Amino acid sequence: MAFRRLLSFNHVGNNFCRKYCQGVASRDPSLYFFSSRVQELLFQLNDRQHDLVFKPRKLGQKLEAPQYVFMTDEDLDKERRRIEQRLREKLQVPPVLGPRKPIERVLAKDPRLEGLHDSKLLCIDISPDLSDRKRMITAREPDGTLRTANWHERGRINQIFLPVDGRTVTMPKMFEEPHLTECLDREEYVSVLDRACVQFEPDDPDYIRVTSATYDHVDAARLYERLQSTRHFGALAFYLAWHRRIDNLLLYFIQLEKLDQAVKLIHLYRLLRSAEPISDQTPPTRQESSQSDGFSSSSESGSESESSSSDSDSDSEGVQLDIIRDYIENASVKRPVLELALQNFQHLSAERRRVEREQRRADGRQ
Amino acid sequence: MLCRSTARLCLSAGAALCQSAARPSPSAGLRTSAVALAGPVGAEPPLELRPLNKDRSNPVPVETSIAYLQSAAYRATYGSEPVWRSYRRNHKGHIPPRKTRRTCIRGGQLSTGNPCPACRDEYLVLDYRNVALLRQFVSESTGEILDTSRTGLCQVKHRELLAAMTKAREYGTLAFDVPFRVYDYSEYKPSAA
Repeated sequence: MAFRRLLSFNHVGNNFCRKYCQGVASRDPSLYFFSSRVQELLFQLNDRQHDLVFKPRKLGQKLEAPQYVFMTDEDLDKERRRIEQRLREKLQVPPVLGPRKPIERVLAKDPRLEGLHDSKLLCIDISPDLSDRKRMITAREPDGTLRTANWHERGRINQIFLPVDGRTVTMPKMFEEPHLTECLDREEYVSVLDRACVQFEPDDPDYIRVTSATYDHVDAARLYERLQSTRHFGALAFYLAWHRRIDNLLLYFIQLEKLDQAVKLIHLYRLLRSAEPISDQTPPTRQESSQSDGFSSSSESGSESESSSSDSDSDSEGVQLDIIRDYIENASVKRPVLELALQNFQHLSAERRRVEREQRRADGRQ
Repeated sequence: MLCRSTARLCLSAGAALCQSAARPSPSAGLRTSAVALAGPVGAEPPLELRPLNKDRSNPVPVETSIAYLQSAAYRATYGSEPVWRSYRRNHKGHIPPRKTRRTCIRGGQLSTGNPCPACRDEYLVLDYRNVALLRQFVSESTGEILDTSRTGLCQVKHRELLAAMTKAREYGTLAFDVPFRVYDYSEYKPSAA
């Protein structure tokens, strides 16, 4: 009797916690972002076209002529691995954090120092081996109060004494309205986002405002290909999945017939919806492992030669279609549009398979 | 390269902003002293050729300059090349002086015989909003602002160009590349509970 009462109490408690935590504003995205599963999904969702990822940046440097090198097979493999490593570095997603909390706190009050200076003094510890986020910065007010500096003062004084290339001391007017909207209307998304990454820390409320405005604009205009093969596509996917607005991006993937990307996006959406933050220690659930089987078999079938039977393709495609259909029926907002797109895709792929079969039969006869 | 007499006539046509008839561009190699070439019947009025205007006391508004850069008169004068491409400095000897002249405009008037590309055409206004013009002074391959040794601008106009570029980057009218920022995730990860 007592045991049964205890179980029912736990059940109520869990439900209450889940409902409370489902409010988007109260959840901290950094608890989910750094998980290796989420990071891998964000990497896989990217197109990863080498030409675009390794496009040179024009930073006023002297140009060097390209080098042509003779290589053995081993050297070539080593070079390929090095390129894969560099690809990961280039596609590092900017961290997604919640807005930072104030850190001002009074250290001492010395009213006898009032009137000594007519302006605030800021002191910074410029030891080179300290992290900029952790170094000690204090402020002495004209009335004699000694306190730790607030985030705005910290940013300015760090940039004056330990400048970061590409960053300005004061926020550029390009990140204020109406200039930000004008930049976004000119579709200069990558330029705005790159500059925001350099200018702000990831937990700066201005950074969150600028990136959210950019992702909203991209989503409204459906111009996802502008961010493809950049580090910002992962951040865009995380933002949309976090705010439960993946329908437009899902439609984009279905229309481009990228079903494996669509399935990965749904997987990301489900991971970010879970009430408990993901830790790398918890093993993947059975559903996740079946989904991952779905991706791995689809990627294998993609790399097979054209002589592969259409049955294995259609099997893995069937699994993917089931996952997508399940999302559309249960969780999507734009259900009719997504269903129509899925129907069009199925019709097209059936037609393609029929044409292939007839071609093979004709070749066999010849 | 524009010869001196036609340069003055062509550049004064900036004020007309009319639609072009079948007028050969300067880079086509044809030279004509005809005032206007009549086009087919019912076409838009041909470009006007006006005498050279040396007065620079009334600056042209930037909106007019932006419209000028899209006009037929601009296309007829410069074609698709940057405005500084056809300019050649006059100097003694083989090697040009390291710096261009300080200014082409004194007392509100053009005071030199061979004014620099930005001073000779009063409708080229170096402003942060005039992106089509500013882009001509940025290197395609490295993104640097071109030096006066290539553009031939006088020092005052070059400084105006630098100011316009700084403002363009501040307001975001001109897109440019920034260094790639590498994040150390360990600084941002939440501390383990």
